[in-house]
Amino acid sequence: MAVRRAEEMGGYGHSDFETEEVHVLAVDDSLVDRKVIERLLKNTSCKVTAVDSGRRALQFLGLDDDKEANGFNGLKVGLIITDYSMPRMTGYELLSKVMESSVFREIPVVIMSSENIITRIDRCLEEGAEDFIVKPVKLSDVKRIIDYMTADFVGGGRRVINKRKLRDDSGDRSSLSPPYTIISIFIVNTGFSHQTSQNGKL
Amino acid sequence: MNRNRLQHQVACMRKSLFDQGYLDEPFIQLEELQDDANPNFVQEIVTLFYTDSARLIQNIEHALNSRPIDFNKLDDYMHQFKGSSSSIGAKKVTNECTVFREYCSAENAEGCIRSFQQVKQEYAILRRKLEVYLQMVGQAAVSQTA
Repeated sequence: MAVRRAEEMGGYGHSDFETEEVHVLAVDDSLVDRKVIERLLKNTSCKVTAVDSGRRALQFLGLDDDKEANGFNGLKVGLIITDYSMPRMTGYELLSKVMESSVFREIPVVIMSSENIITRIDRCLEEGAEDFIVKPVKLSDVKRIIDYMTADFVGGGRRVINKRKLRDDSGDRSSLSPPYTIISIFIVNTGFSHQTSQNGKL
Repeated sequence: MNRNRLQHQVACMRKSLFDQGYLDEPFIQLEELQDDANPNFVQEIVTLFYTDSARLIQNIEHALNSRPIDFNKLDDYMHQFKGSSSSIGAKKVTNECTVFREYCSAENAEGCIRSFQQVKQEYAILRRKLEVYLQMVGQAAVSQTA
């Protein structure tokens, strides 16, 4: 809903916006991980809907059975965070389905995985994932994602900015781009130290 | 019992759980996520972990007893078990899961059976220690309000 309104209004900083929490749809087949990610997100002041499969995620969005969204649930979702390895429908497959939808392709999708496989990360980013988190997920990971996907506006309140759309519109590829974050993640995991500049270029 | 003494016991046991490598960083995060609004968060997650582990252990037993052994299914179950162990910071259990998965990808049945014994052993040890620890934490919390 937040993304829609921002697009309709054509800009930010309108004083008649109310403060809203980001509504996150979390998808993970693991009982333990689902509970943890839910708590982590709530700790970052998000509203959370946690489901145990890609199928249920699509149902929540109103995208199942190849029908376009009619329900209101999907309109509330400002971010989808999904596990990669799930039975029946992987996080990648869920990502693809979201990207196929003209209604929901604007929602940022973050993939989580316990396996730090570069080809997997690349594949997800190429398909349109906003970011990739290696499990176990830390509060700092969640905070980082919520922070760079929201912004404070004149008059208060936070809005989800769709990063990809912003970048596409402005042609500016330097600010806060996913490669900055992703490279940080797997360089950190391989133990190399690195320097990244503020504008996202190495 | 004296509150300070209880708290001291809790702190000692907690330190030894980390020093001896039973628990790791993610467990600290669980503790940090516990607050007045979620006073039993750690216990809730740990209980979910026990339930999930029981299910997975049973599935793995069954898969190991089947002939022929379906190594893909085995790896899948162990991947899940490793995932949840890792999420709560159960370091030794997670490490044994890794060893198992190595035997699994080599399709080494003997190795799988042996390392599964290790997984179950580490899980049982951790569970016992956590039950004692969390019970002490509970007692210390109650004693504070007395």
